[in-house]
Amino acid sequence: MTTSPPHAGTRGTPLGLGIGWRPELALAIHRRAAAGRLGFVEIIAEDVRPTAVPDAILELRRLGVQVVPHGVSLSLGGVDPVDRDRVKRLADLADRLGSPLVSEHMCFVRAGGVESGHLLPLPRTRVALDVLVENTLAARELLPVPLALENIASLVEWPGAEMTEAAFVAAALERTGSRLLLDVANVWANARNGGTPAADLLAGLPLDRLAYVHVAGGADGPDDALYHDTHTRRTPPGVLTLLANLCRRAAIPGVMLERDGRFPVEAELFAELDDIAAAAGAGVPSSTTASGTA
Amino acid sequence: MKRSDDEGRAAGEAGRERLALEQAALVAALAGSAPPPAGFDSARTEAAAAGLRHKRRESAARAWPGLSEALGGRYAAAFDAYAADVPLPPGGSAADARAFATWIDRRGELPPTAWFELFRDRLRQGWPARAGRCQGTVAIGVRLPFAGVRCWKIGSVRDTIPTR
Repeated sequence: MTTSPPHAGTRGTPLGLGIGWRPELALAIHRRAAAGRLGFVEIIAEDVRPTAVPDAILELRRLGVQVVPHGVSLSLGGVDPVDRDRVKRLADLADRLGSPLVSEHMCFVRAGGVESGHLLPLPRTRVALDVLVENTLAARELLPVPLALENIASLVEWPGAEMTEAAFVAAALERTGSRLLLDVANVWANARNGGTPAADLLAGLPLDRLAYVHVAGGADGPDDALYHDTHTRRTPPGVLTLLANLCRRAAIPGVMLERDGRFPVEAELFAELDDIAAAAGAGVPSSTTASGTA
Repeated sequence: MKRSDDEGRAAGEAGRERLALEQAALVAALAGSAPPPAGFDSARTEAAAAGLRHKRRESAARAWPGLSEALGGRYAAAFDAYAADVPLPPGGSAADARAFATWIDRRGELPPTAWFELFRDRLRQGWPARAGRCQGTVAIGVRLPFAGVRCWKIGSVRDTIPTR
């Protein structure tokens, strides 16, 4: 993997190669970072208290690794007004860790006072778009750094779509001034399950707003012909191909692996990270020094 | 002009109220407590609901591995029974695992190793002194500033997960 500077014309902070920080992977992540082969980690904001950041994460900061707080519970697309305390958690983590940005999702997670425990899709309607925009603007008021919004995978689709997914996402980002966290695995999963074809979606997205990219591996359901985005398997070749196509089309500041379970041994994890870096090509440095913060 | 502004606002509010109801209906369908809302594919909704049940169970196990280990092969069925009974509490999978342990405890089905885990967990979270009984063994515990929790047992029930 090269250590060349980020692609000319990249907007947003160069991040390089990254991974979702999980306690089960802390040792492997530390070793890779200490070897200068990791640019950033993403932490789940709900799991980290700003006043009690795990030593492992502080150590990564000392090694020059950037940390991006990632929320999973803001429910920006939910009709309830956004919870200021949840936004404050993201803001406080960004301050504490010197984060260049924070991220969340274009989804809802609760309704009618009931937690779903999952990121649920939004109807692609003008009303839903207005709700998402309003909540996102309210959240941005409280954030000291830019916000990137992520597209989600879903097995269910709302009836009555008034616009394409690309149009919905583009409008949400444009009206809120947010960046794009493009989850390529989610694009691939949805396409595989009969949703928007990947090429169509990528063609319609404002790639100049890209902050970074997620990849991950899922599994086919045991009882159904559907692909479930579980983050518990190695990133499949189709997702890596889509990543390579994306990187030929646009400069990407960073790409990271999401793994949430069935954790692999270190050698396997590093091999997967190397594959991701290779698919992304020379534009994504995997060295911490390339981001200029080491 | 004012009238159409008011009409526009009212229409917007009506649209939001409808969206709120539709979102609540989807959450209920995915939790298995209601049929899929009109216009949603029922096979897909059931597949998504099954995925959510699996995720909830796995997340709780990850949040409290000692509990799922103590239950062993019984964990999945026991957790699914709890999850069908109790909606996901706020506070994430840690709160969910705690609520699950309490739920089984009330049924008297919490195995001893898990019982002691729950005892220590309650000591960490609640009153700094606690006493309890598990199958004839009495446990007493305190939470000390800067020293964590300390527990003592009077009885023969084992506390540790047997090594394999």
